[in-house]
Amino acid sequence: MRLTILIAVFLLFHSFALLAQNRYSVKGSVVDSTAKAKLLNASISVLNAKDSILIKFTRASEKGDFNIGNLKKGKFLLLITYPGYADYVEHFNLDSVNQAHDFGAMTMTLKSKLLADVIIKAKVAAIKIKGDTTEFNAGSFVVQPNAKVEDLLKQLPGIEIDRNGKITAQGQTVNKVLVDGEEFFGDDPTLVTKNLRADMVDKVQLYDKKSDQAAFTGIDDGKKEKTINIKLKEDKKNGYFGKADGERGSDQYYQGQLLFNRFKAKQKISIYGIASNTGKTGLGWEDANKYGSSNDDVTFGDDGGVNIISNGNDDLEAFDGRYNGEGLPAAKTGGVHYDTKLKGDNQSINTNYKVGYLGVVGSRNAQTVNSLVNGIIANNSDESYNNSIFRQKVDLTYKIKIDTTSNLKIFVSGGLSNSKTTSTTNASSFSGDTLLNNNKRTLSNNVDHGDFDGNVFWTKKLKKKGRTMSLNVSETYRHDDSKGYLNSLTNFYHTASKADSIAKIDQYKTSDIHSSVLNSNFTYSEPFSKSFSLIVNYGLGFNHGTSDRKSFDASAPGKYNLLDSALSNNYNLNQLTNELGTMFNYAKGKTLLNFGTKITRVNFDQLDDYTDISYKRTFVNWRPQARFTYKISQQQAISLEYNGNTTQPTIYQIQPVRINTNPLNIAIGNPSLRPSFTNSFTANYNSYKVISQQYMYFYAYYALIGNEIATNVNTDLKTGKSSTQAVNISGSTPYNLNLHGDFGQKIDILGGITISGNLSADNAKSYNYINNVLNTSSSLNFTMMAGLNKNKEKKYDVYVAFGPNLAKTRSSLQPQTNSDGGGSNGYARFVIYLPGKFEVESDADYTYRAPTQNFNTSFSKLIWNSYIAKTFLKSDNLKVMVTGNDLLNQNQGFNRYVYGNTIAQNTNTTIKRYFMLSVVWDFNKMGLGTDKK
Amino acid sequence: MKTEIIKITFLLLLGCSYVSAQNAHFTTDGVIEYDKTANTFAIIQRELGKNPDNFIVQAFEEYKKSQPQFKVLKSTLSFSKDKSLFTPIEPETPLNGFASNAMVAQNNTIYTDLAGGTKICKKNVFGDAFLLKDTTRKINWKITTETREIAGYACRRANAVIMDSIYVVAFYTDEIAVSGGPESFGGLPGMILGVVLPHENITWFATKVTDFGGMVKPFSPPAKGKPIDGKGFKAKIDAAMKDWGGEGRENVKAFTL
Repeated sequence: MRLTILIAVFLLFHSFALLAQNRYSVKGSVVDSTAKAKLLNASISVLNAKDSILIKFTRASEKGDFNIGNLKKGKFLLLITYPGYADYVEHFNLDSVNQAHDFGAMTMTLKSKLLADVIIKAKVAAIKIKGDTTEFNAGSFVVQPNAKVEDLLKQLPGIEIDRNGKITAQGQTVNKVLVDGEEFFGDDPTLVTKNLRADMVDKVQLYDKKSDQAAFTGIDDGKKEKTINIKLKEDKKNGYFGKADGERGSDQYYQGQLLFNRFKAKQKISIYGIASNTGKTGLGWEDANKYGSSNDDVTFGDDGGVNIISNGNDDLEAFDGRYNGEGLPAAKTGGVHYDTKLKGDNQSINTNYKVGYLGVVGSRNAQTVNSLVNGIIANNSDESYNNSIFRQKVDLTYKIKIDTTSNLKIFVSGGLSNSKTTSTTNASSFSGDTLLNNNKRTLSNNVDHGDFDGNVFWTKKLKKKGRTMSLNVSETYRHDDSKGYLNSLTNFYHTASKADSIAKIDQYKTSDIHSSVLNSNFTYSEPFSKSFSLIVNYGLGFNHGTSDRKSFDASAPGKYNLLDSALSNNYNLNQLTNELGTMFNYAKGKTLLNFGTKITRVNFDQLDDYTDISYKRTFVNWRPQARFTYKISQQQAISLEYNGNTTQPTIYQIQPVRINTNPLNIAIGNPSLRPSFTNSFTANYNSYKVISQQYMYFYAYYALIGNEIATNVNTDLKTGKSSTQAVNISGSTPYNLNLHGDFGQKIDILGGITISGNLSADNAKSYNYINNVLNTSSSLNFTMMAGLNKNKEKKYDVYVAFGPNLAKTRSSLQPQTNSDGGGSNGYARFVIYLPGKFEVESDADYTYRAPTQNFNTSFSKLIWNSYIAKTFLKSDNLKVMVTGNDLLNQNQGFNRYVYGNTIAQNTNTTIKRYFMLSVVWDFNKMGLGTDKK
Repeated sequence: MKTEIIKITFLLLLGCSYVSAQNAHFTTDGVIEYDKTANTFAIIQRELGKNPDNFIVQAFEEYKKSQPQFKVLKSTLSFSKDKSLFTPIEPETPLNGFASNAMVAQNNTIYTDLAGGTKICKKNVFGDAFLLKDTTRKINWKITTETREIAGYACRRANAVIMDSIYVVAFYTDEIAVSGGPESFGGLPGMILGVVLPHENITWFATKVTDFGGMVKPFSPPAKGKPIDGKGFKAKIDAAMKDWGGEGRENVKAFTL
């Protein structure tokens, strides 16, 4: 009794307390309808009557009571739920009259009492059945514009939808509705307006969820249930876009391009054409990506890891074409690209045709200083050339997904080209100030080239995760047919300023070279555990080639019919390669380790048909490798790598083909050459902090070469004539050490300026023989660069960088001669976007090389380019631009380098100052696509 | 008086035995295991935007051929009457390539004080760890009559819109008398066993619920990370992602979810 009073008092006190805080509340108690038992923990929710938004909720006490206070006035719903019982829902109002609503005792009913039979009328419908899937083509049913998916489903034979949205198909309840394989939950139109419209549907598929298709979707709980999958239409992409670009410059400079891209459903066709003499020989990277096709192969490992195999840029494509900055180019290129997808995207075809002409004229000067045992020989040569090439190429890639576990890719390509080259060279050699010889030669050549490549690549995943097989078979065929003339005159000055001997060559040369390489490789991977696996591969390769070179002397001027047998040969090569490889792979958490080796056995057989001398060799190449990667965090990783590989002497080093195109330098064979072995070690560290915008990168490389194959150059100090032979370096081990670091950090207190810097250092020791005496060369180089960058989107972008560099070299034969010298590089660029759709850009590139012992003049150039542009039209797709290239007219092709005992400096003709006016028009017309969801 | 007590005891006893036949058991302590399923194809497609580069399109085609459409990641939610701790489980093979995506990954370890309405959340943003202290998210749930069974529990559907634009479908059960859920979802009259973000192509569904039956197994909030508040965190993410285009917008969404 006392307890009851206590509770009453407590409740009273409690409700007073509530009343003090707010005026509106609701209370009641929850009991079972038959047993009248109190339902402890029954969930009581107060919802807004208007939109069912949850306002407050509570649980019933041990006595089944509940009391929800702190409410505002309004119209509400009371929702009471209890496991196994039907929901109890009732409306109630709270206003100034009814400040506290008391529901009293509310009775809940067990669900089993409410169960009613549902009678389903199954319709026999004429529908198309594909395996265990019934497919309806949405397009063949008429629905109102903006109709919902439900309206479409209602029209499909065999499918019924009741008032509550429950779907029945072929007499069975549909438990799951998928959209593109993903479960569809339906949108609440009062919360979101993005609705799935009937006109976005491509197909409706009906199947039992245990079928293959369901397995593919990844949702499977082992139960068999009727499922509807709504396949949406792909984004419609019909239309075209393109770019027309015409430029006219000072000094006969011009550049123009036209690009056009058309889409039609899954088909895409692009064409482009370019003509210029400014060095632009192909599509820029951005345009190549839009209009051409990527040459790279991307594959994904089991863990989703990306593997990009770059097939290299073919000559007709790419940013550099074949123009390397030397000489004055004139280029005309064009191409057509087509791709399409077939059979529900399981097959694709991608084909390209490209054609191009490139002509380059120019001259170059080369100066070299050779340190010999007992003297120094300096060479100076001037060459002028006129080269041109016309190329055509066609390729086709066909990819098919055979089934869910296997893929096949077939690639074929063929190319034809014709190149014409002529060059005239004047060269002279000096010992100190004494002229040793001078040589004048002209060389012309006409080469017809044809090639074919074919590749078949098949991959299959087996049942066990990680167990895979693949087979790759490729054939490469090349044919080169060349015809040319060599005319050379050399004067030797043994004693005084008067020539005392003369060497003259006047020859017609032909060569006919065929090569066919067939390679196959089979790979199998076997997982031992979730983290440890083995990959074995076996490869078999055949290489067949013939090389027929002939040199003819003239019997009468212009009549070349006397075969020079010393300079003629006809080789027939057959090579068989067997490769076996084993790699172990360990991947767990942040650690990745792989190691193994590949062993290749090569049988080599070459026969000279002229002399009947055959040369047979069998050798084994060994390639051990190991790599360890540790992912410290998502954006931070360290890796260590070891690679070892055998390098066999080339056949030309053992038994050279005699070539006299440079009569002052003749190659001699060395049949006793042994293979060399390189051990290299690489370490990498990189880190990128996204939030604080800081990046760091370190790289170290160290390589040692055992038994290195180097050269022995014998130069006759009296004539300046040299012969070169390949020899092994034994007893001394050349090495190469390379270090590099990169750092960047955005600094908020400096207004968001990013500072960056990099530092490179390398040290190398190499060996070679000069007139049979071992020469040791060592080099040490440092490069440093520091930069500042700040940008504001659509406003400006500024970047400035500057840094010094230093080079030191030593040669043991001539310790007093060196090419030590410093220099510096600088770069600055800014872009400013001005009002009135104006844009100004300027960039400057500065190079400085200090004089050295051998080259007593310093070299500096400042290349400054600028443009001002204005865009027109609403969508800014018309652009008019004035460009100034190399405003200070300082551009020069220049290169200075050290190799072995040779110090060299090259200069060549290149494109200099010009101004250009250009008009660029981007046009496009794209059909509006259906938005996916 | 005596008879009164006896009568009450008898009634209670009777009541108890009768009630147990139909009275449900309500869980207040336990662990829930969730599967987060991400439709990577749809997520990547959305991030690529309308006019992606040929190279990316080609790479994505290859990805679709060789990788499963759905990436599944596991997590647990430990809960007691008024506290919960959501912990992602590191996948055996880390997410790689296209799948290493902020929306697909699990970035948060969240300790929620349900009674106090506060949370301590350790956020991993591209390797940087933050310790975010904030109030729990207030969600305006719209209760529906739709039900489905998840991990053996009858659940009711509720809908909501969070962060101005993200449509959320949640399924909660009144059999677990704790108002928690996976990630930062909660505030329903029961435990959330399923969450679907239909337009983000992400779902969480409970696969197993372990009931400790009143036995309390303690758990503690995450402690590592750079302390920050909700506002400061949002500002940092916005600043870092502003130049990332479509991917940046998705990342902001993923990290502030």
